[in-house]
Amino acid sequence: MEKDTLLTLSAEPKTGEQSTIQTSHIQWLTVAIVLALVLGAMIFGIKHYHKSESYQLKKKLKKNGKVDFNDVIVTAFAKEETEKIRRELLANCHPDRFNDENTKQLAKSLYQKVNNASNSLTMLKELETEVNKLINK
Amino acid sequence: MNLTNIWNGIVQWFSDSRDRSRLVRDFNKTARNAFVTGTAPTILEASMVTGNKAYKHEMSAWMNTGFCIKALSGRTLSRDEMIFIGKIILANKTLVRQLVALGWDTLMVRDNNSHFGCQWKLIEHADMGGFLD
Repeated sequence: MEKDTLLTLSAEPKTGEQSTIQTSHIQWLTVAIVLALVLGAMIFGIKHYHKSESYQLKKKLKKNGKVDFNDVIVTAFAKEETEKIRRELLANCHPDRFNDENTKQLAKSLYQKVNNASNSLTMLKELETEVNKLINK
Repeated sequence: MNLTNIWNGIVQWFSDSRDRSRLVRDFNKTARNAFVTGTAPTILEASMVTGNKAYKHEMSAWMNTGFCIKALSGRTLSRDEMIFIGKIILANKTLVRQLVALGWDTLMVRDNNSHFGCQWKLIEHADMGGFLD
C-alpha cells in the first residue's frame, strides 16, 4: 500500500512544474497571436496595395510594355542583314518615287515607320510586305 | 511618412525585386532559345550587378543597379561589337523605360573573357522629361 501511494504521489506534477508548463503555454499562445496578427496585417496590406492606383498603373504598363526579347537578341546578331533590309526599304518607299498624292502620303508614313524600326529586324520584315504592296500598286 | 507609405514601400520593394528577377530570367531564357534554334551565334546572359554610382537617378534601386549583358562567345568581343549590342538594347525604348522603372541605372555589355566592357547611363536613353520641357 505504501509503495502505491508513493507512486501516485510521484506521478502528480509538482506545483513548480505546473506553473512552468502554464507559462510556456501562454508564451506560445502569445507568439501564435502575434504571428496571426502579422499575417493578417500582411494580407490586408497586400490587398490594399493591389487596389492602389500605383499598382493598377504598373499592371497596365506591364500589359502594354511587353518587350520582345527575341527580336532584341536576333537583331543584335544580325547587324548586316538589318542594315541591308533597312536601306532597301528606305530606297523602295521614298516619297519622291511616287507621283500620286495618296500613294505619296502612304509612302511618307511608311518611310517614317522604317526609320523608327531601324533597330528591329522583326518589325523591318513586317514592313517589307507593306512596302512591297506599295510598290505593286 | 505615415505607416501606409512605409508599408507600400515595403510591398513595392518586394514586387519590384520579383519583376527584376523575372525580366532577367525571361531575357536569359529567350537568349538560350535563340542560341538553340540557331538564330543567335552566341548566348547572351543578363545579370544584376553593381552599377555605376555616377549614373544613379531618382528611381535607382539601393543595390545591384547595373543590368549587365555578357556575351558567352568564348572569345573577346571587340569594342564595336559591344557598342552594337548596347545600341540595340538602348534602341528599344520600352525595354529601356522598363529597366529604368525597375531601378536599374547602368547598362553594361561585357564578354566572358575580360573584365572590361562598355557601360551606358540608362536614364539618358529613356526619353524622360519630355512632357516637362
